[in-house]
Amino acid sequence: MDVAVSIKGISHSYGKTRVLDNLCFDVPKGAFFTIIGPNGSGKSTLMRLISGVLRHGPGEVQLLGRSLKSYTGKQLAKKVAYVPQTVSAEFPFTVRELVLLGRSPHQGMMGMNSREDDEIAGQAMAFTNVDHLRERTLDQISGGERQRVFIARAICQGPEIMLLDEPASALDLAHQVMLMDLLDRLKQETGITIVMVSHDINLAAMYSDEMVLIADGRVVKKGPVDHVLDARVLEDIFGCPFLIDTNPLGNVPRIFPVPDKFKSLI
Amino acid sequence: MIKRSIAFRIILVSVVLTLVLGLAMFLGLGVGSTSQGLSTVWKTLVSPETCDSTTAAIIWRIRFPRVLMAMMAGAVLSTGGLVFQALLRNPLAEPYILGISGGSAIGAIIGIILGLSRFPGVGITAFMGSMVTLVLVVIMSSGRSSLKKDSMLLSGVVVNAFCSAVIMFLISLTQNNKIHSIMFWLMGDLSSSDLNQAGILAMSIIPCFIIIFILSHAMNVLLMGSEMAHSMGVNIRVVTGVLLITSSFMVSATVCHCGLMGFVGLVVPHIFRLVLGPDHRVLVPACILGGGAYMVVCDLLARWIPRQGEMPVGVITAMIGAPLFILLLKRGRS
Repeated sequence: MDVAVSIKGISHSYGKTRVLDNLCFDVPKGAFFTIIGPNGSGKSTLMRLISGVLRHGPGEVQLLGRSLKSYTGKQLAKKVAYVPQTVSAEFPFTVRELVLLGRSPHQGMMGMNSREDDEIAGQAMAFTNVDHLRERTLDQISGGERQRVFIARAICQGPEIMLLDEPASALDLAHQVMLMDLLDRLKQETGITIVMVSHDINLAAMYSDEMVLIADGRVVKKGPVDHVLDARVLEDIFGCPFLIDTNPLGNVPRIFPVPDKFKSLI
Repeated sequence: MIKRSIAFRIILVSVVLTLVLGLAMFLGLGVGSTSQGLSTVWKTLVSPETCDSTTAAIIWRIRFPRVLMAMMAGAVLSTGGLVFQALLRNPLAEPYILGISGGSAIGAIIGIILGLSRFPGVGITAFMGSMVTLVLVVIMSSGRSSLKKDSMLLSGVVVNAFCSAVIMFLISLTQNNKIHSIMFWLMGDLSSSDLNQAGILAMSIIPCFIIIFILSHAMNVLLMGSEMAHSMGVNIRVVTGVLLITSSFMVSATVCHCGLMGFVGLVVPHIFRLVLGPDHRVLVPACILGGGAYMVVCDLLARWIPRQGEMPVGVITAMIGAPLFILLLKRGRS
C-alpha cells in the first residue's frame, strides 16, 4: 500500500521540554486518518512538523515517498494543505478573494489569477457549498461557513494531503457532522489523504480509516479504529475510566468517559 | 458587482489617484505667504516665458521642492503604515504609534547634536534608531503564540514614552541655538526643503516602493496568519525581514528629512481599505499616490490656516489622525 505520510523516529523539543519522542507511524495514501491523544500530548506540534511550519529535530518525515526537507516551500504547498484551528478575520477579505489565495503556490510573485485559477476556485466553492457567499466578508458569515471557506481555500492548493487541526471543535453538532461529511466526500471523490487532529473521538471514529493514539510524545497505539480504541489503554492514558460499546449506526466503537458519580455502576 | 481583473483594478486606481495627486500638487503650488493665485501657477506651467522671474522662482525653487517633500513623506508614511499593519496583522499598527518614528527621531537628534551632515550622517543614525525600536517592539509584543493586538499597542506606547523621554533628555543637554530647529522638526517640518534634498529622498525611497509592491501579494497571504502563510509556500522569515527593514529604512529616511508626522500611516491605509478592500496589490499603489496627495493637502492647510507664518504639518496630521485612531480602537473592541 502506498504511504502518504511516513513519520520515522522524529523527536522535537521546545527548549528543554521534549514534546515528541521518537515517534513512528505511517499514514496510508487516500486514508482518513485521525491523531488522538490528551491535551499536551504533542498532537498540534506533530501537525506543525508535518506541514513544515516547524523544523523537526532527529528523525525523518517523508511525504509521498520524499523527505520533507527536500521540498521547497512552494513544492510543499502544492502537495500539502493545512487548515489551522482558528483564523482571525481582522481584514475584510471576501470569501472569493480568500479562496483564490489558495491558488498562490501555483502563481507568480504577484499572484495574478488565470482563468484556470478562477475556475478551480469556483469548483472548490461549489464543492464546499459556499458559492452563494462569495462576495461576503469573513465577519459576515457563521463559524461553520467560515470553516468550509478555509477548506475550499485548502482544496484550491490542489493538495494530495490535507491536514486539519480540530476542524469541527467550534461547531454545533449538526455542523460538525456536515463538516465531516464534506471531508469524507472530498476523500472519496478526489482521493486526497485527510490527516486530522481531533478531541472528539466518537465523531472521528465514524469517519476514520485509521487512528494513532499519542501520549507524552510517544505512539501508544496505531491502526484501525477498533484496535486503537481499547478501554483499558484509554483509561491509562486519559486517567479516567471509559466504557466502550458499539455505535448504533454500525460497526464502529463508541466510547463514554465515566463520571465519578456513576463509577459505582461499573 | 462586476468582477474586474486585479490588473485592471490596479491600473484604474493608479490613474485616478495620479490625477488626484496632480490636482493636490497644483493647489499646493498656489498657496504660500505671497499670494500667487492658481492662475499664475497655471501660467508658469503652460507658458513659463511670459511670467516674471520672481514669481517663477518662488513657485519652482521654494514651493515645488516643499510640495515634492510633502508628497514623498505622505507616500512613505502611508505605505509604511500599510506594511506594519499587514505584518502585525493589526489595522492599528503605524510607524508613529509603534515608536518606529520616535526611534529614528532619537537617532536623528543624536546625529544633529553630534554635528553630522543631514545626509548621509543623520540618515544613518536615524535608521539605526528605528531598527533598535523595531526590534524592541517586536520582542515585547511577540509572545510564544502570536503577536497580540493589545501587547503590540502597549509596547508601542512604552517605546514611544521612552523615546519622548530620551528626546527631551537630549534636548535639555543641547545648546540653545539648536533647540528651536529640533523642536520644530519634532512636529514635522517641510519648510526647509530644497530640490537637492528631495532628489536624495526620492532615490532612497523609490527602490523601497518597488520592493514593497513586489511583495504585496505575499502580504495578502501573510494576513492569514504565519502558519497558514507558511503552508502556502511563503517564506515568512525572508518576506517579513525584507518588509520590516525596507519600511523602517524608508520611514527613517523620511523622518530625518521631514521630522515627525504622526498618524498618516493610520488614516490613509484605513480609508483605502474601506473603499478598495484589503488586497495589497491595489492598496500599495493607492497608499503611495493617495498618501502623497493627503500629505500635500495637509501641508497646504498648515501653510494656509495660520494668519502669520505657518504651523508644523505634524499638528494637522495628528489632529486628523488621533480621533480616527480612537474611533478605530473603539470599534475594534465592540
